[in-house]
Amino acid sequence: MNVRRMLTINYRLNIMGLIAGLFLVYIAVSDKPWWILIGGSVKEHAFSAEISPFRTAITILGKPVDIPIVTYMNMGLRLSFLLMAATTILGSIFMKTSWSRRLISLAGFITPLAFPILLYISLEIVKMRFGITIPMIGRSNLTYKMLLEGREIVIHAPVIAEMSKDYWTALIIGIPSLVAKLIHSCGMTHSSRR
Amino acid sequence: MYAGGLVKFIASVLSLIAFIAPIAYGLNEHGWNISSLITPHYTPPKIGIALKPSPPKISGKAILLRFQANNTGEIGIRILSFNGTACISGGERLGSLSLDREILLPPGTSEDLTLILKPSGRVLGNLISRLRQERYVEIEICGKMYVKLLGIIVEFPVSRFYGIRMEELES
Repeated sequence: MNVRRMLTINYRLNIMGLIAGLFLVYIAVSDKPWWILIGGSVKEHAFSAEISPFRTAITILGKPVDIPIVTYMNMGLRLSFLLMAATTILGSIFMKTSWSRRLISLAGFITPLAFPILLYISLEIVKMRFGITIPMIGRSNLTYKMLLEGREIVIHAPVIAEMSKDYWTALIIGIPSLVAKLIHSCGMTHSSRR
Repeated sequence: MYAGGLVKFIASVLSLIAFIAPIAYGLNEHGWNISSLITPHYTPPKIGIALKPSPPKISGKAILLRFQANNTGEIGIRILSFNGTACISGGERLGSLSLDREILLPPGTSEDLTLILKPSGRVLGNLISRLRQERYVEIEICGKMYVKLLGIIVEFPVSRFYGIRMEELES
């Protein structure tokens, strides 16, 4: 209980909430990918994908693949995150009010947990739709057969996939969101009792 | 409790608007055409090799089928190998074909490409006697070429004719 009191300056300011809010801003404005896929050699990439909830960049044979809806969804998620960061900071500052608990967002904690699940589902869809098995993490050799002008072309591509350092950073810095929510709930109960 | 619910409602609505607004903007940019919004846009780079036949050469018991390979595309290509066969048009199999060496072709460059045909003694004799009679023999090249581009290996079928003129034959 003393730790909670300390982290909220006697239930007046949710310090973890402030930290979580600032971390949310950092995650939202960071343009770094969370998952990276590279096909080809280390020096030359035949194709690559750099994906995070806020940015998607896909290139094939050095040319970008543009999926407009994905760009706008990334933009929407970024704006939502910034808004949630603002409400979390606001809720942390006005901790004593009865409504502040509702403003503390868990997005910073949930998003990095949901990301690999959604990624796994997407890769399974690619596997079912195109017959291409792309690893989520690790190396593999991809073989893909395609018909071009009636002739069968076989492509053999070494593939490397990894969750980036920025993903693990986002996962770790999402923890203050959870702590802030727990502390805030407890703090509210305590201040209500008083 | 009422204030808490209202705040939660406003925060949720704002969050939803923040997510939806860019998508609505995108839809507007694409003339409210959903199909245009969800369709991936991609312009692949041009990839191609033009093979221009050069006069063949007899080297020992092998016939060197020579080409001028020109990379007409935008991506550098390395030709790794060729596995195939050559037949005289009409049917008789002359022998197996292989590439004499790996060839690196940066975009817009040309390089000599040589396929080594190793026919058996009898087949080579027949081919030369036919060339002496007809002065021109067309052979069919079939096989698979292995090329490397941007770190991936692509295997594609090759099928083309190669004309040999008696007067062009070098030895």
